Amino acid sequence: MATLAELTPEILDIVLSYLGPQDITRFGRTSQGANAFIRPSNQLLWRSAFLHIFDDPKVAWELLQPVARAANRARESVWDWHYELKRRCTARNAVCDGDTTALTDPTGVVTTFLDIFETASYRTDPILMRRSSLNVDFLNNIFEVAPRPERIVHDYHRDIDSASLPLHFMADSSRPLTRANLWRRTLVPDWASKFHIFYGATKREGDSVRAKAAARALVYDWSVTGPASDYGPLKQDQSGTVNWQVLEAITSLMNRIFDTIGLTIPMGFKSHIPYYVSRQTFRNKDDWAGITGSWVGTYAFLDYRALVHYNFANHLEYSMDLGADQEACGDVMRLKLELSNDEDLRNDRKLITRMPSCTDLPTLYFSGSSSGRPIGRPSILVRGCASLVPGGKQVRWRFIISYAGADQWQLEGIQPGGICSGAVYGLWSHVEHEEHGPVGPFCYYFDSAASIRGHCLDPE
Amino acid sequence: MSSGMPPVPAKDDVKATWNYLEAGVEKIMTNLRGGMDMKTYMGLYTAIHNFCTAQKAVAGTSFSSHNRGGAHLLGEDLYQHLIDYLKSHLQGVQARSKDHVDEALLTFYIKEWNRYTTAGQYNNHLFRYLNRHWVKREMDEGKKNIYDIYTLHLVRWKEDMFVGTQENVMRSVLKLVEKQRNGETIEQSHIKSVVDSFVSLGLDESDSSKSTLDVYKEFFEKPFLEATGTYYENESKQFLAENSVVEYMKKAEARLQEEMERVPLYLLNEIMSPLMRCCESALITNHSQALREEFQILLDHDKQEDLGRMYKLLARIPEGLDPLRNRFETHVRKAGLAAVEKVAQECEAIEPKVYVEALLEVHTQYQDLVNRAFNGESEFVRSLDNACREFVNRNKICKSGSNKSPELLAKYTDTLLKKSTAKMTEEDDMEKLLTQIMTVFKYIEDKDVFQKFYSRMLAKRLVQTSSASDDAETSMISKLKEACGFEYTNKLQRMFQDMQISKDLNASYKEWCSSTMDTADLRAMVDSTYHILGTGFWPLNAPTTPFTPPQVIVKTYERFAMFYNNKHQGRKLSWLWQLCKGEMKANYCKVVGAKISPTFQVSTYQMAILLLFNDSDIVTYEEMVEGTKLGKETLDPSIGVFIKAKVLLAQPEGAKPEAGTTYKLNTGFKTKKTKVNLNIGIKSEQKQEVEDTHKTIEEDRKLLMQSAIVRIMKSRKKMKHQQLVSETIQQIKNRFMPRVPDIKKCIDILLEKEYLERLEGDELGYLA
Amino acid sequence: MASSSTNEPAKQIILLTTSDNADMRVEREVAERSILIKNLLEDLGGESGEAIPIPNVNEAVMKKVLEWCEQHRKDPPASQDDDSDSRKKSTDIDEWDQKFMQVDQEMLFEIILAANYLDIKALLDVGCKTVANMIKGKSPDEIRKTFNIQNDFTPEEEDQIRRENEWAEDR
Repeated sequence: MATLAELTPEILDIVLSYLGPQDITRFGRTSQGANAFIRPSNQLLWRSAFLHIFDDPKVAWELLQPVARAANRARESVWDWHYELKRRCTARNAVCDGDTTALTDPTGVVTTFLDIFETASYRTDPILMRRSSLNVDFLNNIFEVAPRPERIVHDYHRDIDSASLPLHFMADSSRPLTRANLWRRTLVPDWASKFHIFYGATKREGDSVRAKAAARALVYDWSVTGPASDYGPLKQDQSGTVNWQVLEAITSLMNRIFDTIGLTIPMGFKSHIPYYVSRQTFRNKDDWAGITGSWVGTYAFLDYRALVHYNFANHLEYSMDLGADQEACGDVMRLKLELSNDEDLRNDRKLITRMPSCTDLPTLYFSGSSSGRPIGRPSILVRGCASLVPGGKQVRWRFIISYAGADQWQLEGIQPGGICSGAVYGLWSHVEHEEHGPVGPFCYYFDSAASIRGHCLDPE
Repeated sequence: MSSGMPPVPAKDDVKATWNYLEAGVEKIMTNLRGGMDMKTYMGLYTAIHNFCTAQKAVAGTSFSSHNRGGAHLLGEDLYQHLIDYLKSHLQGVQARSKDHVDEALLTFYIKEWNRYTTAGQYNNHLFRYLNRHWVKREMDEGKKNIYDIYTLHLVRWKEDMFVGTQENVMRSVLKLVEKQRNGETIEQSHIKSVVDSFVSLGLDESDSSKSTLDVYKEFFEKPFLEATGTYYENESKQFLAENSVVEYMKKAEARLQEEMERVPLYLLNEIMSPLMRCCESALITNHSQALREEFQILLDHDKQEDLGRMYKLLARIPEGLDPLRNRFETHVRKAGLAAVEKVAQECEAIEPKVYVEALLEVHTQYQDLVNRAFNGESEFVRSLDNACREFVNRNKICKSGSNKSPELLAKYTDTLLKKSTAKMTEEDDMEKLLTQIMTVFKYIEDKDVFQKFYSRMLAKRLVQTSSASDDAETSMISKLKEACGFEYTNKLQRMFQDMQISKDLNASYKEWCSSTMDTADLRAMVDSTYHILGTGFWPLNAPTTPFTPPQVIVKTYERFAMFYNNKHQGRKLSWLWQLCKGEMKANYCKVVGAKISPTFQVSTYQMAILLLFNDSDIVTYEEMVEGTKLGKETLDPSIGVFIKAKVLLAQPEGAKPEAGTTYKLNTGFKTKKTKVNLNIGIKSEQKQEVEDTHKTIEEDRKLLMQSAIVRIMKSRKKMKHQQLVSETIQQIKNRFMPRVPDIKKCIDILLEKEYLERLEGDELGYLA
Repeated sequence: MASSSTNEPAKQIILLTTSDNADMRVEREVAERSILIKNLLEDLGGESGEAIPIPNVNEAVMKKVLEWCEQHRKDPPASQDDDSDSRKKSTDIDEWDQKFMQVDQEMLFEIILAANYLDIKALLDVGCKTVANMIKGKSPDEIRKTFNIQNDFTPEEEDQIRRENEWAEDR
């Protein structure tokens, strides 16, 4: 008589391939034989269970550029479906368990979530004709169902519960924050800054004057950038790699600004995945960075007297409250950019950098102009270049803004999510970089809808 | 159960199962035609199924002995046995292949291949349960060198059969192809089968379900191309040694065609491009030197067909045509120069028509060659243009300067557009001739010179109403406009408009006269028409001589002036007497054989002289000077015409026009014509005009250069001297080719006039 | 090799002999839902009228299988691409198939084994889905009951395994 036990392994494989981890493990708990069948070494079974919940990491890996892929190979070769699935579920459970006390291992949890994020990929649902990612859904779901989930996101507001918040310098929370009490020797770990950038603005920091003050303290500090970082949010060691803490502060400020001026900037996990803007959007196959089309963005600045005051006041003098001022921001700028092969751009002194870049993809050059400027004001010309940051994951952008025939501003930015992902964040400064010049944060993002309307692109 | 097949063995007995299967596989492999029945088929399939499903997933703990987890599947043993079987089977096949050579070997190879792959398909079906589970699982787990059963057959063939025989097989194939190239008929399907077999053996290492052309490329395409190259290298060398280049080109053309047709017959389409490159290299590139040497000979003898053939051949190889284009350009230039030289020898002052036609003939001939033999290819067109530009602007006639060509071309245009008594050109012909003029015009460098001459001659045609057709004139102007733009023809068009306005003006003047004057006055009035020409648009100068018009003319024009000033207050009319003309009736004599008196057509100056004779039959030279106030250089030739025509008689006879000479009206003047044209242009005047024209061109050019310089400096403010010069050339080269020293002179003038200033170094500045 | 009579719309009837020696007549189109039978007929021509022996399936099961084939005779052939993408793996079963699978467990497993043997992928999948649905959402004890599985763990073992697998429990 045929029973479940009579089935051959190949058939039981098929049966279990329809089930998720909970049902599989419960089946395994029925008997010795079942338990042996579902053991971790049955990788094809666990792969199937994994893919019920998560994107196939192979898709994201195959989109990596050669250098990044090579760095990832070691991980791929020891990839264990059971182990990874268990690790991810365990991290989720740590946050979702009803208990709201501090996490025992915040580093492990957040780095696991970062890993889920970094192996996410988009896939078009053939029935709903919608692009989605299981990993993003998984992460977003955690933030929906878990009690107080933002305790795992670092930000510049001091939160007693925030286990991953190493901002010890804010010991005295009743004092306004000034340069005098900023001790940068306590450094936020990269993973915490990254997770904050990809997660987006926390509710907490939106209401927090202190968070604004702390972010400003970083962004408007003249010493935070300089020639060794091309005046951008890079490490000041000529490595051309990202300074995640500065980038985090910039995103924090810019997200706040977009909120006040009513632009919906692409935010959250979904926007920081490579090819968030579908590759098919771009007609020109050489345009790997997704340049040609419409871009929207703006910049912020500090009143120049305040900037000077902040940078020159030392801790012995009276201190200055960086959180008090209203955020001052520029016009909303709409740029029409186009990829260009112009020799002049390649040889443009202002577009040359001495910092290394990842050569898996060629540096691209572009030019364009602003549109939607108030009538009567001179139109603004833009040119610039995009390259891969060493390591091959993030994209580095430079915009040179000129008006009235003269170059004015240099915008040095990073697209943290990688190729064709969401916004580019960075710092602006005067092209000539005179000492003690104005600086501030900016943000631009690709506007798919406007690009399609403007016939720059084919609709997806 | 069926004949020869034992009953299905016990499911967990590997040895028995394989023994059972081997008998079946052997039958399929060697004696498929002998028949395969349903029982045997199902028996084999079921034996494999039963063997693979002998294990239960969750039964007891038996599977836990496998260290890969519960999902270990059965089947490996059968797979391994099949490999061993195929190996030994193929060893036998390969051994038997040694007995065959050439075509027999091909026949053997193809027969075995077909038998083997058919069996492979059978086995693939019979072993399908293995494919579906064990093989699939192995591949999903990333195992290398595990294939589905059919692919396994191909892999074995490649390893155990192909490696040892492919060289001999290929040798036979190439022998066969060589036979066909030598003109023999061969069995093409043999080769096609070999190609198909080699293609099937290409497996993608990363995904064995896909195939690649790697095996075919290395073991078929490569040797095939090598043999092809060698064959044609030898053949072409030998053929050229025994035949002319022209014959060789025909041969090469035919061979290339033949190879192209060979591809669809039994080769893979992918070979087309490399095969063509290979043939081109052997047939064309290797002999391109010889071909190119023949090119000059073919050009000299105008062998269009052979030139076309050579073009087609050399166009196939990279940079094959460049040397031809250079030679062609030189050849055309020489032909042009020779043609001009020839006509230049024939007469001293060259006829414009002869000159232009000589230029056109050369152009037409080689344009035709470019279109027919060189496919109208743009690079050859450019070479033709380069050559024509050279010989049109720099030839024997133009020795004195490149402005001779535009002058002659303008003159030729004038003769075409002028009323000619000889024959009116048909409209179509006229259009064709004008188009030809534009062909030459295109090559003219000094387009400003043409413009100058053309506008002067147009002015003359209009004023003297000697233009043949308004349509032709407008057609020509619009052609020039098309070629050089609005600015170039602006004045020409204004001249045309003036003529139209004058016509209307004369009509309203006549109306005005008849409404303001009585009949008697009207009858006494000199019949007159007027051309009102806008100063500045017409290339006309004020009269060079003083002149007192006769009273009767004064009265006439004063009346018109009154009318005109009424209409257009504040406009000043200046009279261009040198262009005016009129008719006079000689009532003192009769046309021979008729009752009417002849009419003299004369210039206004001549009219003034003749009218003196109304008062006296004899007038002295001094009286003429006094009465007309004409300068000697105008008066003397005018009298000369009358003397020559015997209207006046000089006294003493043959006396020069000078004080003391008297002139008598020849009352016995005889003529058969009712109209006698005495208004004959004066030679020296014409020559003077040409010189004047050239002089004004020089001045215009200076102005053009100066205004260009000022324009550039105004926008740049500061500039290096050298840069300014080259920018200036850039701006005006469409009108004429400026010479650098001339530009420098203009800069000096502007420095002097303080439009510009010298700055430090080599820089110039603009002074507002 | 002879191919199936594609240009002949007339229904070709073929004969099957089951393991319990019952002869069954079935339209070729219906029988060819089984890739095994389809390949066999293509390879051997299938014109002889000879009965096809099916040594691993008995008449009762074969009837059930053919009933399914009859219902699904016009379905497009199973796509070749692999089904490893689990997102497609919904356990939804259409209504007819659900009813069809309402059989006792023994018959259910017999159908699955037959589908596996006869190479009818869609039927095999529906069978496996049905079994998967019988496991879904159940506790280990309920699963044991459903499939009559003997609990051969000691209480200590059982507890240990429960803890080991706790991570997989949905919250």
